Amino acid sequence: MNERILVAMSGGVDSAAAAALLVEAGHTVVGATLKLWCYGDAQATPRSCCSLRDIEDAKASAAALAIPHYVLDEEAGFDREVVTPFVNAYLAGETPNPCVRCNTHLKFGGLLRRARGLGFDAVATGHYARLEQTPRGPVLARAADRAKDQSYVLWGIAREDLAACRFPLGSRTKAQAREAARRAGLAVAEKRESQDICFVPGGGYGAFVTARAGDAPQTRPGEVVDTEGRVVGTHRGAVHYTVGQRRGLGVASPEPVYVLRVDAARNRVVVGPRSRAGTDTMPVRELNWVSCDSPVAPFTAAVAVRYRAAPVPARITPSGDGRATVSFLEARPVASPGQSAVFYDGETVLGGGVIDGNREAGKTESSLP
Amino acid sequence: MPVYLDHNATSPCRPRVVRAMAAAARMVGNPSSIHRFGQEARAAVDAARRAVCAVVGGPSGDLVFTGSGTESVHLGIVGAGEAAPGGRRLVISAVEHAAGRDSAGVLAARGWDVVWIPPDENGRIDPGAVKAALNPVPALVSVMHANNETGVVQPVAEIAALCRERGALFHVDAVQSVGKIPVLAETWGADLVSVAAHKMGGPAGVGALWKRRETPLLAVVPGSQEGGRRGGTHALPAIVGFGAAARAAAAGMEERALRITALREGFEARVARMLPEARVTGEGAPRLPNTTHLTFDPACGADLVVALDLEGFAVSSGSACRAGSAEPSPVLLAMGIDAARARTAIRVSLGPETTTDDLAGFTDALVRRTAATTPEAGWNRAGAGA
Repeated sequence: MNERILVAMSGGVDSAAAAALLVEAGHTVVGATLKLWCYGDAQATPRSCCSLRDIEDAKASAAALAIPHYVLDEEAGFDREVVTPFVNAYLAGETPNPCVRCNTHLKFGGLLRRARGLGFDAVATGHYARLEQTPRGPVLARAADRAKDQSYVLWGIAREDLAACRFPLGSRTKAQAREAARRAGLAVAEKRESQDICFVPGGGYGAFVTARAGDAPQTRPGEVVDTEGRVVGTHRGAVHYTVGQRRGLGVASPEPVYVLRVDAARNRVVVGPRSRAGTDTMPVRELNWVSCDSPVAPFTAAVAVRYRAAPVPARITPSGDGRATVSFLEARPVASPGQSAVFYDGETVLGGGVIDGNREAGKTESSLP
Repeated sequence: MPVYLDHNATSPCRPRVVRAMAAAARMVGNPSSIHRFGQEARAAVDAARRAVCAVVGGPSGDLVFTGSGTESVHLGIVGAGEAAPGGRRLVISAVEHAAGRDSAGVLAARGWDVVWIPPDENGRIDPGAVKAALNPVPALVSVMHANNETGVVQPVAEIAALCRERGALFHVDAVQSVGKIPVLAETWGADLVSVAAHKMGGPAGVGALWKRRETPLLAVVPGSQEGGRRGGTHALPAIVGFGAAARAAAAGMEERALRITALREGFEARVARMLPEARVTGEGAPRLPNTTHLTFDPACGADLVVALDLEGFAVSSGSACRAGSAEPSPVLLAMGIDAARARTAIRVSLGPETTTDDLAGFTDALVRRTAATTPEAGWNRAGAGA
């Protein structure tokens, strides 16, 4: 069936290949690039996904495919929904995943609304994930190419929007995507992938937060302490550390030490041995169920606590306020507050949430009679 | 076939212009060369110079060819400003094209005192406000003839008289008005007038700065060409095309202006009837015959330019140079239009080939789209699809 599809084109090979495949399949395809950040900024490098260069690449791909292409300004929304929460999360001692929020609020939230207003049936992206049709409606599933699977960053899509999402690369490999781009004669076919967070090219997140947050105490040096509260070193500012981090702690110790907790309020970093880094239980907030109704009773699922991490079995106990407690059944993974907890049932993404930093509160709650 | 209603961004080259340019492209000489090839090319440049001088109403003045309208405005503000005998003070309207605003910024960065004259709610610059700013006497005053976004025409003759009286140089950016309505450099008493070819059926990539013979001017791009006032080998085909476009625009300008004004007025009446919440920017001011600038209720003006393009109607969100940005136009903000409404703006600019049918179809599309882009409509559709 011919559909009118708006393709979110980042300027990279994946979204261009997605557009090429939809054109090949006979759909009516229009390209759109969200202008999110740093357009025309001298700091933008060719590697940042929202630089002017990428907008030009997206335009060139659209021209080669003979489809219309538009630049849609979402700078204000990006700052509000992605960049500001990113900075605030670091200041709160968390390690946020801005791509998740960008997908939730801009690529699938805002863009889908605008696409509907423009008369489109669906929005497509170059994500590696699949939309699977079931008797209970569409569900979000892992990509066929497990090595490229990006379902982890898509848990925030509203369930009622899922039917209008298209992932043309979901059942393809990266090599097949490049081949589709080559077949369509796209110059980006051999373009290298961006690895950085688009608005922090080069990956200096701590420096970015420091620049944005001015003189917040969490950006200044503080104490590194062990689990007994003994000062064992100094750190550069709590915003530079992530739970589970091992490198760059500057702590002399006979066995390797890991960051166990980032105490942003006191600008302290708590370290300890690997055996103390894993967790049995963690609270999760901002839950979204992309493929099913909101569960009310406890259930068992496989939970991924970071991008590319293998999901591990856990008991999930919803508490009805967009929160749940996750109790791991076997492995004790290292969970960094601010990262996403994504719940899988086999290949299906049931939903996800944000790992909450307040582990003590979680314990108290679950230990109440 | 899509309907082109963005003539203020650029207007299609007239067939006779294309023919003249093709002939010039086959010419060999550099107009600065001594030999007869060069002489032939020089004669072609000078013929174009006379034609452009005539269409800006300044047969007795000098004309310097530039690489664009923007370069001409830059030369007219920065090159004339730096050469002017007066103090380092610039008086400029707050509704100039980015070319003028940015050139003023260059002078401000060099330590100039820059005074911005705000418009009234119709986008008009009050000559009285300019007069009040002429003390102390500025080196240069710059006010555009017609605004590229709203089409509002400024009282440049009155302002020219005030400048003359005080001994300030007066520059007029006539890039958007030339060829559409009479530009009368000498009658106004302006010292410098900027024009470009591509808004009146000529090629992009060539502009010109007209000036009175005695008006001082420092080159911005140094070189021996154009009497030392603009370096760079002459772009012969573009300059010849400029001349051909100027001659074509001068012929029948009044008849064309009347016909296009009638088309525009019919369109605006239709819009008023079918889209009562739409507002014509600068409605109470004299405007270019071909320009209607509209703003809408912020709730229903989302993505209008994209939506209309998908329906086959090419308009602009304001100035073409601002495409892709959701930042509201500084011109509209200066007129006191609030930012949310300013973001909904579309500019509809007609050309010599625009028909009543084009505009009827366009109005229907506009009505459909302003109804369809309300947030409620989007969600209803979402509900229906789920």
